Amino acid sequence: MRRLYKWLLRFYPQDYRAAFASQMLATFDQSAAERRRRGWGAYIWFALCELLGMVTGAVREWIAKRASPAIVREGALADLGERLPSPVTVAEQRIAALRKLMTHAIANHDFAGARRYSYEELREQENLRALREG
Amino acid sequence: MRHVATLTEPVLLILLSLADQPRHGYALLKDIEALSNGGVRLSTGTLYGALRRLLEYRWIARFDQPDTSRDKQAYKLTAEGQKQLQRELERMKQLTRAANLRLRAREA
Repeated sequence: MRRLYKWLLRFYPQDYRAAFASQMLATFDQSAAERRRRGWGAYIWFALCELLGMVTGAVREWIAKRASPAIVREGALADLGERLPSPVTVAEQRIAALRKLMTHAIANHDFAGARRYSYEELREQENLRALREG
Repeated sequence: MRHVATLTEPVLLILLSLADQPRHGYALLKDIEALSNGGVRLSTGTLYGALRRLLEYRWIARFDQPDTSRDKQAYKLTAEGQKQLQRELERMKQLTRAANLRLRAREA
């Protein structure tokens, strides 16, 4: 049953899974243990309700993901350190992306664009230095 | 802040459960079952879907307890959540008063 529950979790949006999957699994484990102690009838009923709840929950979450403004959703799902990259990682990723854009702009003789990306990269480098210093 | 005319039953029960103290997922399920005299048993899918919505509305917030694993993340009621809960309870009181008046009028 636990394996099936974990498998069903895959059908939820990724950001939702990152925020809640481990909590859901822990809550499920505790509830399952308690229902098992109450007898097989209670456990089977619990398992059916959980499976139905997981399927309808996944559909609801996909609808909610499309309906919620990204900033509201991110705000709600954030502050779970594991999901969000650190500010240093974000800065490093931005620098790498800006370098790629600069190379692409030069290859296409877009020198004004290349200068803009170069300037952005310098600013990001300063930001990264400040982050690393503390 | 979002204002919802009528709270759904799971949302109302979660807010009620968090009214006295922060609780994590399993504690919420148990408390909701007790609050409803065993009448409501939320599935984990329903519970965490409702918690996600309440976090979006900012009616609840994460409550970090020392020495607690991430799997046992607790949640607490915010000031806005408390206001919404009071509004809903007031609405229910008015409805109960109106229903009682009508029943009495019918009996008279």
